Amino acid sequence: MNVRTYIVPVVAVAIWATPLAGQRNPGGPTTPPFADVTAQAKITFVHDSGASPNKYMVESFGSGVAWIDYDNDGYADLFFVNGAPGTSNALYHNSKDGTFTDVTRQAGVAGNTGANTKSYKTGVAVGDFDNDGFLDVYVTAFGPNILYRNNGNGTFSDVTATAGVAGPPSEWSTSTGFFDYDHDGDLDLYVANYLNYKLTDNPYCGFQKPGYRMYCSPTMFDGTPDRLYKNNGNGTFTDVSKASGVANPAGKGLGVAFCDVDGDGWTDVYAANDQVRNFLYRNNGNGTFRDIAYGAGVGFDGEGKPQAGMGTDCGDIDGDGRPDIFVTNFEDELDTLYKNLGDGTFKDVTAAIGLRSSYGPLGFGAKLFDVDNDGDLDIYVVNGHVIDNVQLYRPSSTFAQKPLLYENIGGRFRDITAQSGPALQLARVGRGLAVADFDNDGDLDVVVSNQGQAPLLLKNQSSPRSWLTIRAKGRKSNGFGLGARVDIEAGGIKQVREINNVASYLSSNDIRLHVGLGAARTVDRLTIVWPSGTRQVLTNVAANQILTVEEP
Amino acid sequence: MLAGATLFAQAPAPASPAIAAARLERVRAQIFASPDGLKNAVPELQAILALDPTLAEAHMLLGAAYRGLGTEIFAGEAKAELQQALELDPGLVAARLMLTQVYFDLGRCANARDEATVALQLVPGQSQLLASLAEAERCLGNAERALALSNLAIQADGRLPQARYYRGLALLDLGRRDEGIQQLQEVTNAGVVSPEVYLHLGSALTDAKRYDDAIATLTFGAKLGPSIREMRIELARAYRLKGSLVLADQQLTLAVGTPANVQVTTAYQRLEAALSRERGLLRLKQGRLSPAAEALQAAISMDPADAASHQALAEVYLRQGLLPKAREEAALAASLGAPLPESLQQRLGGTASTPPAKGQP
Repeated sequence: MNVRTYIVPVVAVAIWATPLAGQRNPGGPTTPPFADVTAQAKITFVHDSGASPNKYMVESFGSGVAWIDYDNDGYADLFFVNGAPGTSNALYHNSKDGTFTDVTRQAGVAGNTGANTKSYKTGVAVGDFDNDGFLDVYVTAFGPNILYRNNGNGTFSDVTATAGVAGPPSEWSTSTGFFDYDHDGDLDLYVANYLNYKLTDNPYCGFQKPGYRMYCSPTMFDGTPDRLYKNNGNGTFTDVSKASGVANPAGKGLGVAFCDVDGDGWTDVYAANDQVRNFLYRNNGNGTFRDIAYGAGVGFDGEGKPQAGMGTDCGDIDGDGRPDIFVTNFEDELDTLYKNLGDGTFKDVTAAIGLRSSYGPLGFGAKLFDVDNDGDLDIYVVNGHVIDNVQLYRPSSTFAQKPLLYENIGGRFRDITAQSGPALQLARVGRGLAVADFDNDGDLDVVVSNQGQAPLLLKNQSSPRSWLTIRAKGRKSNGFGLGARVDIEAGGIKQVREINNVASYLSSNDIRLHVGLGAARTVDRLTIVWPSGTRQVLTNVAANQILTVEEP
Repeated sequence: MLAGATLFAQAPAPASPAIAAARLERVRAQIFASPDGLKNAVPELQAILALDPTLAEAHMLLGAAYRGLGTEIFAGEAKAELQQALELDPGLVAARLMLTQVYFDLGRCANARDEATVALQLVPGQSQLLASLAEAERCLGNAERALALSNLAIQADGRLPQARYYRGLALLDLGRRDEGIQQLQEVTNAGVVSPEVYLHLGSALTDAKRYDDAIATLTFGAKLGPSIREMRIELARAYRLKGSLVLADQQLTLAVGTPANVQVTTAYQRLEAALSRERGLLRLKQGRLSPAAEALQAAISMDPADAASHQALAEVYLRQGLLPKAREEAALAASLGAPLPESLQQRLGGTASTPPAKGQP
């Protein structure tokens, strides 16, 4: 077997020198898992939602955030999407010393000129669509979407028109992501769309007294189909939404997650819809998808009721090797966890496994990731109401809300938010959320985009345990290995993961795969099944490193 | 590809479309046959769509079933299912007709008009579609056009109750109350058991000061739809105007509700404003001036253009001796077309004569 590995030394942190600070105990963590380092990181971006007395709905759904190592220096940089028309996005270069530098102007990714002057910008996807080794950026909007090609020299070019991925200028696009749905070696693009909405059709909702106008319910408006753009391999894309079977006009898409739910090697798509059922598009492997949500039991909650799906992610939360699906929902709805039963169906196990505290807040961004490197997936959810004056109607509700952090304990969850330090006690209007080990110290950090507020950068300080970060380099497969399945066997525990940066809400995570290894110092066996079908096995891989793996 | 590793390998083999079609046949026969038919159909239709998600009729019936469940969130899902049905089969006129009804439920009358118009292009002159288009036009404020369209619908099918119902509403909107009442009575006499018809007929009878008829009509409507809050408010109004204040109070108690969702719809807002106004008017009639003022202020805060509430609040303030505030409210009421009665104006020190009131008594 032709295995080539590149071992990149761990930077900066002597993991084993840290005595058990942050290690969990039954009474809760001794060290808060996250510290707010936004200010010391020199991130000054503030989101502008464009909130107005007219209560245009698009003002209330925030914008996303992405981790992107745009200059391939091995450190994840940060990209913030800004909302209101005319406002600038922000690209921050990671200075490798815990601080960031605003390079938006040089990079040319402000997104507030030309056709985009009047857009409300929303989501972001990161992927190397032209396989040149540099990560590109796609920004969605209520208005034309934008594809920025990374020129490889710190600048980007707007190639939207050439690529043909702007979408109709009236379309309200939300979460988005790159994936190679047809295994032809280049990345295609999925774009969730929300409502068929016009600023000129903006009904008055709420009581007719000053200050009481509120954002309308999405039920008032029709949905609009999601889009799938097939990469033609020459810098252009073809809209194959209808032909591929993902153009359901009923969709009110807000969240998108990719994973191979049936283990057939083809990436499937889960679309979280607001107040209508969610879609699970099974990839048929022939360029088409089939929505199996009805039969799979992931379209509704356990009682058969449609929910207000917002953010979503999938991952194996119970160690059975099958990806489960998590969706955040409205207040007075639980954030739903659908357990993959492996027979084509899922079961809503939300309440049974300890997620009841999600009933109160209104969830948006969410990520399943191993907060404490103990070898399982924990859950972080950011919350915030969609109605800024909600307290006038419901005194117990608030616009800004605290996040939720759940620790995975043997496939069940414990809400550890209250024990997780001051950074998690402050209420914010949370929307996007993305994770990356931005300081390469061996644990996953979090960035949160807040609506109309400054973002939040949370440094993970909880982990004394082992880990492995994998940077995949595809050859036949797409350049960053998106869609590869990775089986990790270490310390008697087997974990199944996928290389996939698409999840949460409007946001994009680090493209590298991070795996917590608990006490293991070595990965006994690492198996990668690339999207090309190539199977690669590595043995006796040292823990606590960033491992670059090239497809044979 | 991960050979042999398909996690769903144990999944049942795809069912033949014939099985789904046969199950759909059974649902079709049962769904409208009993009051619980709609509710019971939901899981079965979901199961059918799990077998074959391309069955347009299954999506349509699921949409109908969700609409039958009545709540706002299910209205959204009903709309979604009907739109999926039409995506699969744009010629499914019944789905388009149901979609117009969902749009009415959501107060999206322009959308309803669009759907009815498209459907009429597929089936020109179809009576139900003409009736729906008539109602959409009425809802959009075009009562004359609504009347003309409902006449066309009746010409197309003289037995169609919806056409007569919508014609009655158009007549009421045009101020032709007696004709409107007569038209709605024809509908109820034909055995239609829709609570909405009784609500509108009862309200019109109250406006016509036929209180006993109104109470009988609305009471029957309340039996058909005991949870319809508008019916209780209208019953309270009829009882109040008849002088049966205790019975009016009982109905208002039954009218109190809570929103299912914090996102307040226009319909909910109107309902809350109407409830507060009726409560204020009743308290005024009972001589309970402070609660009356409180309720009327609440009504006005929800709908500052509520002429009847301003008028009543002026009277409350007058009786409380708060003359400046009474004059202020009287002026607002007059500007909205509901001046105080002459006797009260004199007690206020006289105000200019104004057009007839638009607000309810």
